[in-house]
Amino acid sequence: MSLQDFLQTILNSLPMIGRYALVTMGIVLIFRTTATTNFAQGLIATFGTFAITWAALQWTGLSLWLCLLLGMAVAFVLGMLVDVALIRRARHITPSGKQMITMGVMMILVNVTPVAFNNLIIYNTQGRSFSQGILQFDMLGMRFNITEMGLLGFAMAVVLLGVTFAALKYTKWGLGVRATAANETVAQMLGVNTRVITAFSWALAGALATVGGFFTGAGAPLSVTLMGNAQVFGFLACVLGGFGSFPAPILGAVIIPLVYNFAGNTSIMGPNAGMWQNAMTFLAVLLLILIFPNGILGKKLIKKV
Amino acid sequence: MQNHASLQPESAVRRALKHPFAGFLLIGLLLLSLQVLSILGVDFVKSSMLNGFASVMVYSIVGYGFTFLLGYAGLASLGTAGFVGLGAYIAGYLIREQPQVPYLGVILGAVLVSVVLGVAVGFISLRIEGIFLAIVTLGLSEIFYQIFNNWLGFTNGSMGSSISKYPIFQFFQNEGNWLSALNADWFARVSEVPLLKAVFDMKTLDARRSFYILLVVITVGLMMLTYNLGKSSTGRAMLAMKNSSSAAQAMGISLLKYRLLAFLMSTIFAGFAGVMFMSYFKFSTPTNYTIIFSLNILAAVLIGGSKNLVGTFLGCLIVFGLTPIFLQDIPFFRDNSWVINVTIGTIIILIVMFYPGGLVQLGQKLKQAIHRLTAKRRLYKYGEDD
Amino acid sequence: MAKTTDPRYFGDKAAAKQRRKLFEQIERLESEIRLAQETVTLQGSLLEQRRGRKLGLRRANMLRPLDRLRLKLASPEEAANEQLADRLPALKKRQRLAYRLLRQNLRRKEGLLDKAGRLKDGQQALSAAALKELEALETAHKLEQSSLYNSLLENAKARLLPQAERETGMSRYRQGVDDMEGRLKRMEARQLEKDTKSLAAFEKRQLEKVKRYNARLKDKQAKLRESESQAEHHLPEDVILRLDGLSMTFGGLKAVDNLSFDVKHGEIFGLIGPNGAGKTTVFNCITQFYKPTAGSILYRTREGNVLRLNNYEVHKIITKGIVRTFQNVEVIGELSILENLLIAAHPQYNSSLWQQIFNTRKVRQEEQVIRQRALQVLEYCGLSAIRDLPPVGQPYGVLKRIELARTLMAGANLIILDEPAAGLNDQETIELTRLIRRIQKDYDATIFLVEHNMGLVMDLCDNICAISFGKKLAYGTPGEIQNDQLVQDAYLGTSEAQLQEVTA
Repeated sequence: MSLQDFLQTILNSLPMIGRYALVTMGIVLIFRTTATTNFAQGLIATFGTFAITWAALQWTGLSLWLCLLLGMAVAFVLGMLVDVALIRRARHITPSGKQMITMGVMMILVNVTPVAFNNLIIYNTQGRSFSQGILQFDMLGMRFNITEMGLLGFAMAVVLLGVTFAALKYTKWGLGVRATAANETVAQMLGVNTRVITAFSWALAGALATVGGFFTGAGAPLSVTLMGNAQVFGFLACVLGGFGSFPAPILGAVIIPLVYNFAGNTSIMGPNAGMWQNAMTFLAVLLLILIFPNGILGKKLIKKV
Repeated sequence: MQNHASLQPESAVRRALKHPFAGFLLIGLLLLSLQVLSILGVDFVKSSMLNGFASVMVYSIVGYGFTFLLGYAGLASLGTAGFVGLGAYIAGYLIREQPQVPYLGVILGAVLVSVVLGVAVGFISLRIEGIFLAIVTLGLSEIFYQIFNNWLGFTNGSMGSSISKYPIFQFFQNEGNWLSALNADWFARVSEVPLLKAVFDMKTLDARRSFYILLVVITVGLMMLTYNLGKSSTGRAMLAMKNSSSAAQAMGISLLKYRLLAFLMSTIFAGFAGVMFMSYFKFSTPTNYTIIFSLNILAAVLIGGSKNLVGTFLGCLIVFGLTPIFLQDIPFFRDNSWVINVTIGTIIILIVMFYPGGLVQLGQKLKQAIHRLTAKRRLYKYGEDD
Repeated sequence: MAKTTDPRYFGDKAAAKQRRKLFEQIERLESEIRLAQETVTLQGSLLEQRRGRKLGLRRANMLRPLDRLRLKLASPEEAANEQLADRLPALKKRQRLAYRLLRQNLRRKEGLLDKAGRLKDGQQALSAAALKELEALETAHKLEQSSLYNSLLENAKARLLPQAERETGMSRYRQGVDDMEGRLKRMEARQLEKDTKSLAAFEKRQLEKVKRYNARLKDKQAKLRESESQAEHHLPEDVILRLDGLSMTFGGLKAVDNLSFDVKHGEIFGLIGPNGAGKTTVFNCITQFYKPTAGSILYRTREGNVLRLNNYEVHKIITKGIVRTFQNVEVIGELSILENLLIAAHPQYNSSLWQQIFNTRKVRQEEQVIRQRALQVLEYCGLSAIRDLPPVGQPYGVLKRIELARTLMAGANLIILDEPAAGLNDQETIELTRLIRRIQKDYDATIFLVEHNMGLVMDLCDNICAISFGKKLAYGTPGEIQNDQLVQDAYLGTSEAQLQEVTA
């Protein structure tokens, strides 16, 4: 494989990295604040994406940015709803119990989403995307190209994640999230309103993932399985990076798309690479996880008895 | 006068009903009687209904293995779909492409592959913390899904794998008098006896029907064997491991051994159920084995109360059986299949949040409620006793 | 760190492994032998029980026609009385319900009841008319009873047989009874003979098994003795547990630092120290929950073999006779108290997975025998009454006792108690102390405990080791420890300094 091919493959991974990082950020926010591994994350995002598409088709005069914002708002509310209606009431339940609750939510959303949007099986935003163009540029005497939409998605992801990390670090909400993550009971006793914190985390997770969903769906047929891969890879990214901190899973979300794109590269994996791309990625990631069972950046926990 | 009441022998029926296997046998008898009714030509029992029950039986076999994993060992896996699919595809491939392999060999092959898988997942489970295990097994299941879709030579891809005839009970394949297929001399003589003649002139007992009966026997048998294991020191050791892994270790329970065992149980049962599925329905597509299937199994076991085999069967009946057996004649449910799945999702949530004991707990609560109500009625009618 | 590479602990690695394997085989054989022996006694009592029940049922069955005959022959009054005794309870029950129904209706009519049908508070009694009505009903009931008796008597009189027939009947009855007794006796004898024979056969089978096992056991033991010369570990006769330079590091933190002490056979040994001194870590190292970073833990089994515990996996420790309890009681909430004890007996189950799946005779016998053992231990610990309840919701003292019972169930040689009195009230602590003493005496066990309740430690322990920040401060009898300057500093000095800081 040539250097150009190598760099191009990395470049091709950028949009995916952005999308997965957004989903992963949501998953880890939820995990850290409510000790829940949210299986419905991808479907909340899908619901938001359906809402964007619906809005874009319904009100053709509306700016696509506003549609995106609307979809984010829908997912924001939906995420908050899940927390307020279910997870908050399930405090006394074990983490695996909460996990199963989100599986139930997933099952409901999978079936409700297509019906709620009247079985929209159409191309996302039907021509109404920000750009269809492909950006070409020369560097080091080599020619690279990337879709403008993908680049936009990556840029948005970077901005959104930057804002989220800044918020985590400098705002009162961020402090609350970190306190809740460390110990919910103590945080509560110290006057942190953990209810608001967790609800907002769930909501934000939904909204962030919706942006990911929007850029995943751009130009592809819309279906409930839109975020299937993102959901599973998002989880695996968290396990791979280590659930213990906020930035570690993002590292996982960077590694997985790279693995994915290299696994799909015909010059490495042969002519059938595309067919086995998904399977190869899962296999590689699972092996990595077995090597780093506590996450690449995670620490080994010693159980007290 | 001496009171012999305490020495009265308990009635045989009552004693039999108290036996733990009574419920299993009762289920078996009910399932069997449906088939018998159908053979006798009762219109009420449609063949779609029997197929529905057959699928419930197949999935309940998966459920028993999962009961061990979730209810006893406390481990959640979302890889079930992949394991079942693997069994089905191995059976499909062997029966279609390698007809010289005997049916037992097919089963053995699927089980062996399942054993390897179970050991692998068991080892993974030792390295990965409980709640992340579901995630990792989900990834594993995705790999299988890709294989089912893409390995055309083995699975026939998205077109689905199919076999043309039933792998066993070939001699029932012929139409007409089913025993005549045996071509035995004695048959001609025996079938002259009037009473037996009536039996032989019944509707044909074809391969599908015989396989159904075999399925009933297998289901009930596996229920018994699983029950035995659950009540034994092995079952207790797993429960101990689920409740407190440190106490379990201090009491001499090897986490490695019992986690492996739990996963082995679940993968072997799943692989075996896959073979049964392929043999009975003769067809399988990759879309059968998505995460929704794994979630359905999880839901079925949760509904049944996680540790109760009769409960697991009933859970499977609710999750997998409602649509094909009861609801497909109702136009609303036929056209809106999503309603069922949404209901199942809601049931999962409700059970986890309010009824961790599932149907079993619900039954107990119902009993208590009835008791309370009758007591209330008594109080209203007769006043307080003094 | 130097200790781990000490050649003393690593003689021939293969030989050590061989020895470990031999120990395991011997343990298994011994447990099989014990099981076989206990099965025989249990089988005897089971057969006896079964025989009793069978004969009782037979007797009841044979008595029924005889009773009918006797009733026919009895004087009319007697027969009527007997029949009345049979039928009166049902009648009375019915009458009582009718009475209550009427009373309730009257009360309701007079507005004495609330909505649910309960008497309102502070309500006066029924009116005179209503009382009269009730009285009338009662009289009617009495009448009904006597009329029942009368009709029975009437019937009996009508059916009364002539004197001659009665006499022959009487003799038939007496003969019948004699006959029955004789038959029962013969039956019992026959059954007894059969049972004895089957028991003997059973015993013989079991004894043969035991003999076989014994032969194998001897063989293994001989092999073990052969390797004795190469045994790499030695302990003085009276020492049961020796910590030799034990260290445990977490990251950069030294939780236990080069700790050495001996626990003597049969004593109650206490490990004390301020919070965070590393006491529980020591326990976790001994029971192999943590693998010590350095140092050795040597232990003498009941049979006198000296083992280096570091070489064993955590779930093998219990089979060597070391059982622990936990700081935050770890009972299995999903199992009953009895089953919690069966969990502790887990290594005593020898049946294979296949035998368990098919629930073979061996599995059933094993379960019976071990259940029997558990019942005895429960009796000893005073838990028999609640054995079938789940431990969830039981008071803390009971949970602690369940944990202790588990150690006994496992046949512990060395019992390790992690803060046994934590969370108990004074009364429960006293009871627990008594139980621990009793256990030490009755079960010939050594007890090693960590405890914060100094009163209990000083009262109970023969020897005490005090540690602080993972290092040994002092070792000695309770008196010596109490007077030790270092210990006083560790406990009081710092707190005094803190006190001064606060006041300053």
